[in-house]
Amino acid sequence: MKTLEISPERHTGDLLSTIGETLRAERNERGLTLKQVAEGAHVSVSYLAEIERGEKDPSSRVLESIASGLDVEVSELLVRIAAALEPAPVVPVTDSLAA
Amino acid sequence: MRFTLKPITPCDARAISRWRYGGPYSIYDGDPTSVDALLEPRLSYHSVYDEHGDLVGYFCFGEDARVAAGRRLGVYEIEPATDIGLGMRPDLTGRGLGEAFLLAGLRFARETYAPQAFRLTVATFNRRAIRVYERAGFETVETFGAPTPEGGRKWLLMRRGA
Repeated sequence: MKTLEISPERHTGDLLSTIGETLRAERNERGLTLKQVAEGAHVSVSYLAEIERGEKDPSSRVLESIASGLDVEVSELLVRIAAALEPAPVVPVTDSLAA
Repeated sequence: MRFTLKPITPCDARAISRWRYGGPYSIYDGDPTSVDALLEPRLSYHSVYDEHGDLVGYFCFGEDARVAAGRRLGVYEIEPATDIGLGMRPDLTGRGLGEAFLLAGLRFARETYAPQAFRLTVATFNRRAIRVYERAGFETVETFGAPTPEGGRKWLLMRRGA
């Protein structure tokens, strides 16, 4: 009998650091400094830097603010974050059904 | 207090990155991550010293004094001007020193960059700063952004002759 492989639980840190890395990449591509984005988002440079490092969890409202500081749509930002997340490991469905 | 401007040093940049402003002004708090930007020559950061040589604040001229929303709207292209960004050491704010501090920065910029005009972008919640800018002769030429429930993300574009 085959054992169904259960993928290890994802670290919540993965999503957080992906959000942070995506925000930083987006900022760097636009040639914006932390100050410019923070000022535009109405958050502090220190808070934005912590989010970029994956140390702070931004609320949806803060994410919206940062999107406006970067001058991108929040939907664009979310699509990019989703794309940057590694695809979840595929569970071999047919195998498990056969077993 | 007499203010003197000089190009920023790594030591000053590290100090500024640790400054913490209380209450609503905490959105101006620094972070060690931003030290590199403070030292980037194209952003023209300058330290301000008092007559004892103590660091009392900073100015930046140009790029880093603008916000992305304003750039998209093209508010910085309407008329040529030098953009001014500034910050005082937290323990010196709210003491009526702002106007002299700002005028020292403008004098320096006039001699260094020979600008046609000065311009600055300030969040509307920051009444304290706006009063100083008005006293120094700045006038609002544009309001942009969409205010949030907390009163953020709305700015005044202010301008005065050089």
